[in-house]
Amino acid sequence: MPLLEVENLEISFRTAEGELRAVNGLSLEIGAGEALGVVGESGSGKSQTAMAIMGLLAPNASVRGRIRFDGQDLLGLKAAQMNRIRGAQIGMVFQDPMTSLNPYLSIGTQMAEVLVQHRGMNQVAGLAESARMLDSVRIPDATRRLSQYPHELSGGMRQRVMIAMTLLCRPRLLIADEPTTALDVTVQAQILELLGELRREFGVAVMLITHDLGIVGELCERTLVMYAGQLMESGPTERLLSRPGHPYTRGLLDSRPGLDSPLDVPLAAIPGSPPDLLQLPAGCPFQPRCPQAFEPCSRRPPVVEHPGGLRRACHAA
Amino acid sequence: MLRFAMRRLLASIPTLLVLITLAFFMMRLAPGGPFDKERSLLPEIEAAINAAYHLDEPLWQQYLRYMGGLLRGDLGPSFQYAGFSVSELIAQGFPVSLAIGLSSMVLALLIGGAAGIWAAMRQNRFGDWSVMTLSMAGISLPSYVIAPLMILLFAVTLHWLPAGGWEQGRYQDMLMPVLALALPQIAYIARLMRGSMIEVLRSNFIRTARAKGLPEHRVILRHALKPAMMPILSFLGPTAAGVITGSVVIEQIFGIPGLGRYFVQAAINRDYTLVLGVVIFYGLLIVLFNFLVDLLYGTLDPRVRAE
Repeated sequence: MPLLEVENLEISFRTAEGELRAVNGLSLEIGAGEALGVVGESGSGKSQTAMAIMGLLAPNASVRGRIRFDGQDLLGLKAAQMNRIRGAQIGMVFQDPMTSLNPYLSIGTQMAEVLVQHRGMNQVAGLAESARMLDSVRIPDATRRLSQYPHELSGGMRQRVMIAMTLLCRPRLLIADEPTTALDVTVQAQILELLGELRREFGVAVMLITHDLGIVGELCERTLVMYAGQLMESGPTERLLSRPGHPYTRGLLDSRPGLDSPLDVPLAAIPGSPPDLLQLPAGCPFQPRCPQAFEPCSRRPPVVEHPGGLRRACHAA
Repeated sequence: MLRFAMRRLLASIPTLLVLITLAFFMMRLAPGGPFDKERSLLPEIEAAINAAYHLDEPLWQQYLRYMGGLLRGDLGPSFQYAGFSVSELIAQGFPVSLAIGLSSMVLALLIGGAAGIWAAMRQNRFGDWSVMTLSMAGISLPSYVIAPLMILLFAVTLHWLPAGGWEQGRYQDMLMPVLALALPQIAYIARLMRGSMIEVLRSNFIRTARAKGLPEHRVILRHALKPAMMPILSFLGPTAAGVITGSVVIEQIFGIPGLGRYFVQAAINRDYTLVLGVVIFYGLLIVLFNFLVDLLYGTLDPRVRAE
């Protein structure tokens, strides 16, 4: 049984302009200790999928489908039950470390409260454990950091603190939503390396959300490509990156600059822009931008299993 | 921190000087004087009185004399309450105004703050809507309407409370004026708190707090309250200074011997020294409260402390 099983997830938001359909029938699973990369442009529904798993969607959202974690249906849980899972069994690291920590509370206070809440520890024990965890994420001088405030730390340090904070209760799943996007390139690499090490050290499953295919390759054995709230293609990362089957995956890969790409040739870009989530077309959402689009694409392609563990939603491939 | 405090206090001296000077000359520009009566006095008596209060000197000399007195902490004699110095009058009235004002500010902060948080947690739903409607009413209804209505209900009809008067701060005497004074403040603070709480609840660190599995009351009290208090703190400084120096209307209606009534009476009577004394006292309190607010900012927000 997989650790996390998302089945036919649909998320929509009631807005003044109508119903915004952010996620449309997405299914995915993550096994214990496994790392899954979820790749897509902004607006592809990857972050909202994560928020749905955490039970943190905005009040105007409505969710259908099923999210099973460790055999338990998360969507049916009451707030208090969900609070016992959030932060304890599923942790989440957010994109912007500059604003994700509370500027009014010391690092120690923010970390220890997780242990006080979920483990019933007292403040002193919580602080001691927090210092050990800061050590584990390679923050030097951990004990002194506890009394510091977020503004006294650099962006990379804050993201390490965030990661340490989510690992305090040894969660079984860590959701990282663009954890390196707001950081310098060198710091990015450090954080990714750290995530990889911690994954092995703590045996935690990781759902890494990113728009950067290169990041996925370093950390995740499986990757899922999303577009307009739907699965386009998923499978073993290496296979997906070396021989992409879906025209969208190929488009994404082609539009990445390489170190050896000639400077005088402009970067390839996927023409057009993502569909309006308020008025989704009936067929394949990528059809208007797709170089291989043909007549059947006006019907929504089913997700088909291909050899080598690949799943793909495309009439053409 | 101490250097910051000293600098702030020194910087307030010019402000106070300008305030005193303006108040001094504006009072003198107003027509009439403290001893003008319907029946004019004998010229010799008037001259004697003017000489006794140094009103016969040129204006600049009176100004210098007054400032000299101020430096020694002497606010001068009242022109209207014979035999009383301005300091004595303030010392009599202020404790009463302070007791009522402070109680109503505490009440306003507690009720207004709680109502604002409660409304913010129900944004755009019925609970929110009803709190906001009530608070709009609280802001719009002037105290000279509320206070007599309260007297009518609680004193005249129900006989629960005395209609007014003041006997050494009995709580029965305080209840209605405190409430009447607090109502508009409750409404203001509720609206302020709602607005700032809604904004704070949208911030990323609140999302983090929720992702940690903290129950809602911890998210609000531990993570959102401090940042949401900031705008209220700025409002509280000058407002508290105003409220504890007494409200003219409330003190008149309930017959309370506070400081508020001097504001208007002294100005009408051209009681130059009393007006100046009350203005200076009020100015000092505003400076003091703004200073306290700045200090509180520092203790609440570590980023301010760092600067």
